[in-house]
Amino acid sequence: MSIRSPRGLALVAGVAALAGLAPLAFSSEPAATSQTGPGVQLLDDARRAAQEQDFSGVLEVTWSDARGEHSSDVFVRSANGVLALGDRPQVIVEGTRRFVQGPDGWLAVWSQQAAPHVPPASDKWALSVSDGPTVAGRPTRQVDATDRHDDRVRERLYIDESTGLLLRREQLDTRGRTVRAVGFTSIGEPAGSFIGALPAEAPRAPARSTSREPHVLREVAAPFRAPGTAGDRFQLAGRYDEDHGTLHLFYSDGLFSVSVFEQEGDLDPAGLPAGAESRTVGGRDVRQYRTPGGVVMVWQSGDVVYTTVSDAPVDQVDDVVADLGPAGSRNAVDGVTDFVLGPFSW
Amino acid sequence: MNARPAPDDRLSAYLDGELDAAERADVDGYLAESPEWRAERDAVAYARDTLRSLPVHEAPPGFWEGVLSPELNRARLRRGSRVPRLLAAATAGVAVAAVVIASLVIPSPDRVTPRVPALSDSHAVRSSVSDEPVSQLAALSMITPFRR
Repeated sequence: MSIRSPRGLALVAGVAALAGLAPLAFSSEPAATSQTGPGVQLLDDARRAAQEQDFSGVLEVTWSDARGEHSSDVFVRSANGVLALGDRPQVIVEGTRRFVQGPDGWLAVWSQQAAPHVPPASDKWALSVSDGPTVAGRPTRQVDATDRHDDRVRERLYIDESTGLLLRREQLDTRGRTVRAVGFTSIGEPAGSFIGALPAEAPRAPARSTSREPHVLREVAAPFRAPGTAGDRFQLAGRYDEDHGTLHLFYSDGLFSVSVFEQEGDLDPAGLPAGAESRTVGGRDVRQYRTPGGVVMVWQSGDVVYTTVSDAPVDQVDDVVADLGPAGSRNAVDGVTDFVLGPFSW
Repeated sequence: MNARPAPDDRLSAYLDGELDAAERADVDGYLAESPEWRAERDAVAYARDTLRSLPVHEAPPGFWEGVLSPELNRARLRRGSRVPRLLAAATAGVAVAAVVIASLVIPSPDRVTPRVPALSDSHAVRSSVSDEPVSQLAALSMITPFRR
């Protein structure tokens, strides 16, 4: 799929002819390094346990936006290596495969191995481990993720002592207040009688699905940009070509992640969801949404519309936004002007 | 009932802040109600911004002194030749034609509305591959006003 419109091609060709610019090529993706320490080990174990342990439970997701605080419950069930979320369910996880329920059936939205490209959390975060509170009736180990630069705790994770499952995670703002949380309110065996709304049978990967997987990109061409690092120690961990001419950049600091979506054109805000907050970030006018999954920001810079989606604290996302946009490149008007006026210049 | 007029020159004056209060209120009303008026406003604003962002080329040293020199001006008047004026007119015509052709060759920018809920889902899915999947994917199975 092409990620440039005809106008984009014309502009790139024009600019390349006039200014000698060529599409940028990028080095290979960063490789992971070895991770050590009890905090890192607990997080690694939790990632595996969610798919290897058999369990069922109810998650409570809590978040706040301009209209106040919200919470919603989600049924979760895992059996035989297949994880299902939602009471229909709406999401299925099997190994690296991800399926999402669409309006016309299941969509296969991911199947690639991607974990090796994520940087180690310990580079940026100090992960301290202590005895935690009881969560959903289970004793936990508590992992505090503290920013090594400013000694602020930005995430607390509570991990089941006996199963290794992540039972709750809380995100904290710069003043230490919890701004978003995901945690089990009840959890047990798959056949547990307390979850009467769940279907009796174990979840299974869909037999039929429509592929909606993004394609991995080796390089990115103008007007898009893909900086190797962004914000506060976020590293580029993947480049993907999504539907509708959308470039997807995935950044990670080992604990949080930021997706940057780039689309060529002028932002038409008429079709955006309601409820955006207007902010100025790094000199840019940004529409911001606070959602159950994190923070979304939409803005325009040059000929590109950016959408940033992240589970990171908003101040960390602000730093990423401030780093993105044209890097001193000439715009379309400059190119056209030189073309038209060049023969008449002195 | 008053019929809403088609977008007109008031939009340009509106963007320049040249309308009086009553006219401005009228245009505000049209913009609030009419996608056609909003689209025309965006087009006018784009044209204005494009023209205003054209760079200014500096004249070479001594050019303006030569132009403003009384002796040179008198000499030009004495010659009374039509050739320089024809040359200037031809040059201006070529420049105008070039601008018009360029505006036709380079189409206006695509209008883009990001599919924000779908992009949020893409992020959650990608995050779930390298992070703990339950907490990353929980939001995908929720029905909220944001996910329409």
